[in-house]
Amino acid sequence: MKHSSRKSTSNRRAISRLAVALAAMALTLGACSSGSGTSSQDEGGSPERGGTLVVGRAYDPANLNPFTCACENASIQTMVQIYDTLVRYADDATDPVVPSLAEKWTISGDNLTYTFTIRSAKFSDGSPVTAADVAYSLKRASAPDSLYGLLYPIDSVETPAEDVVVVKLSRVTPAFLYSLGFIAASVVPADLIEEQGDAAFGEQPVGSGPFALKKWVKGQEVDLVRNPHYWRKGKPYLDAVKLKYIPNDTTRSLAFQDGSIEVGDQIPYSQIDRLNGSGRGEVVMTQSSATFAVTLNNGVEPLNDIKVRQALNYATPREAINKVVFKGLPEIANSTAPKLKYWSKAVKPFELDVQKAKALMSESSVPNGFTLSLAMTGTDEASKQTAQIVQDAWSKIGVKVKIEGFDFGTVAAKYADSDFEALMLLPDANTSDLPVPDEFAYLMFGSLKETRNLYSNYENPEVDALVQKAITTIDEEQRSDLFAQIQQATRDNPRDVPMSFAQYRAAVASKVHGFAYALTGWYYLDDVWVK
Amino acid sequence: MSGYIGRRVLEMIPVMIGISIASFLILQLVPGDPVRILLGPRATPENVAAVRAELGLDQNILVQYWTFIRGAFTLSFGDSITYRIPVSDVLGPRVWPSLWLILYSLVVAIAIALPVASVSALRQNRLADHCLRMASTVTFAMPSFWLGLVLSLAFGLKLGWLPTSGYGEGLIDQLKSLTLPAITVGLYLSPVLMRILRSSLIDTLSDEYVEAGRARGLSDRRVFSNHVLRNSMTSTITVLGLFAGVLLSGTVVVENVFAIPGLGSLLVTAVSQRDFPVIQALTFIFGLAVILVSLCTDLVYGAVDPRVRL
Repeated sequence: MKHSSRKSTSNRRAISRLAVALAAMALTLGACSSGSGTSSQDEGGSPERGGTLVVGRAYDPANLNPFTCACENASIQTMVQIYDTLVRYADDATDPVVPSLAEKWTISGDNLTYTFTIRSAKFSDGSPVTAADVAYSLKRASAPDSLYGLLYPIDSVETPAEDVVVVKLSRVTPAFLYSLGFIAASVVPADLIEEQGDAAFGEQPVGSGPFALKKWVKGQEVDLVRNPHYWRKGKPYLDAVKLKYIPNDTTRSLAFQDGSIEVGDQIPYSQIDRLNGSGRGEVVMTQSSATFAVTLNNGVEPLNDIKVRQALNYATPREAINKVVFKGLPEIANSTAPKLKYWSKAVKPFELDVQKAKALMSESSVPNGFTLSLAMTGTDEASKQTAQIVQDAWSKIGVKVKIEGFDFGTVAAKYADSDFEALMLLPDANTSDLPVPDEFAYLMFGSLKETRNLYSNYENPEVDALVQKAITTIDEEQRSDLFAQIQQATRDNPRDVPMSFAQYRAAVASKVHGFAYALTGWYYLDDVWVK
Repeated sequence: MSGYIGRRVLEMIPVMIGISIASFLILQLVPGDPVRILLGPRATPENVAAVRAELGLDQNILVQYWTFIRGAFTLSFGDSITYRIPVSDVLGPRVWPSLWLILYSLVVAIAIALPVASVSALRQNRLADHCLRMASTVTFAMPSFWLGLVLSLAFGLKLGWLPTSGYGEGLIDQLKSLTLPAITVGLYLSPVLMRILRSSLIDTLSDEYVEAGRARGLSDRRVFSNHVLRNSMTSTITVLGLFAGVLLSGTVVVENVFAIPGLGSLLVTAVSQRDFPVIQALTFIFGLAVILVSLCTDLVYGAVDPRVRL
């Protein structure tokens, strides 16, 4: 397969699934994995076929139809086992995209035409996967009413042969191949979904992925069973998977400790040591692509003054927050841009420097300080603790913070309306769908007209131009350089106060082997076996 | 009697309408657009407008209310915004776990309150009475969240007698899963029941016919169970009825801790997602349940106490 660099596109749509996912999982990157914790388990001998894996999760899926879902993490994590996409995300940053349903592909010289050869595969109901099915799926993913149309700037899709699909893009998009690994481009049986309609198909989805849906008891669990026609020979090893919904963090830990679940998702930081010492298994952690930050409304005085924003950044005790709230496990963020491919280590995070902060404040438009309201999710422990530390720290430079706690839905609404001065989303909330920064950079820094730069009202024409260039440049080195420049520029002229790169954590029992987070933060279960 | 029931049913109607109007209006005041939340900030204004039209949320508020109330009386509440399937399909599977949990909790509460109150009343103001009353106050003060987790840890993890959480499949499994939650809720209810029963028993024990019975030679046991207990039940029944009605939504915390897919946790999720049809359906049903249970309580009261003519 040939890789040329991809261009991505600017579009009007916004990313994060924050509003739907209460504590959305973030996507991992490949490049540099974080210091502590492993991102996958070590092998334990050769795989054995059979057995059921029970996973306890913090949330329940809402919709399993890839074209009508708002695709919050629980739904994505479930759909990933049921459907196939043309490519899949791998663990490796240098080669993060590997063939899945597309056996191989070629890209035209002008980077506008992609020709995919579809491998021989069957859906779980036995019907063959044809080029027509792929064409249908891509057309729906790129339709104007699709929520993810931004990722698929497709002009036309043709099927010159039973197993060949030719896609013509409307503009050069370096990120296109990555977008094809995202769940919104899942391949479905076209005739079946047309016959049943979206709603019915979403209740009884059929895909060509490793597992098929056996039963979905809403609010309780999702039962999956092996797809006998799965194209990867010998896989999945597991006979069945049960995805249980256990909303309470402590109860999920208890369930892991007493053996009723073998994998526990979203383990609270405070439980990690205890679970590692429980003798049942260990906690697997991975870098996510979410940045935990205090978002600032750059359109509000005096936050429109760059010196004020810089001062706030210098006055924030990131290490202390990281230690107290997250047990020191995540990495301190050096920018709001999450840690994806092309992340630059060279950009230094803000060090805590209260003197410098005070100096900046005295040069700013508000030398005598000001009051600031901070909106956050009142029920979230991490948010509460962080808000208090921040309030204390910023008071030292004359900024009086008024903490306002709301329920998650209201915080999301205020965020989308830019109805805030400072606002804190949940730590894992703002995530990228792709392992490359195109989507994120565009939305956060290059979509002023369309999304007010993701509701922050951040105006930086220099960075805007850099973003437009980076997402349309094919050459890998140039892209890397451009994204590094963007990172540095948005650190010098900060959009908000970034704090840390969030982590995913799952407790995995010792008898489970082959469990690993993929680059994007979800786990494909076809490589997992239980002894 | 049938006239009484008929009257009560008629009285129900304006109350139900009142509840539905109140919940409908309150929802309109709460910030947060369900479609925005459903689609996420990724949605454009056009997306949002299209889905709003599809769900009928762009219509006049009176029209929306009329659509709702018309369906409500046939228990068809439209489609859930979050799940895109009929509300009744969302609610249906969650009714039984809630009902079983409530029944089980009430049984546990009575099983604790009855003997404790009896001992307390018979040994009034002696050591046993003081200890039991203190124990009941302490139990009442324990937060159910904490109590649930402690029980789960002790009986689920440490002793392994019962599941730590979840609902299970099949009746036996489900009853086992509901035991710890039922004990949690039951322990919370029993102090109130115990106190009320105890004071009724103390009152009844000092009545003349009780003395007369003993004088006639009836055993203490017989006097107590056939005469004293029966005559003290009325206020306890009233309180039980009150609890039963309220418990339908009151088990939210326990449902969250033990991962029971009941109606209480559905309401909390629906509110945070602003899933209006589900919220309205649940409010309507909870209101209906409270009214029906209170009607049943009055009927039972009338059956138990022949002095009350309905």
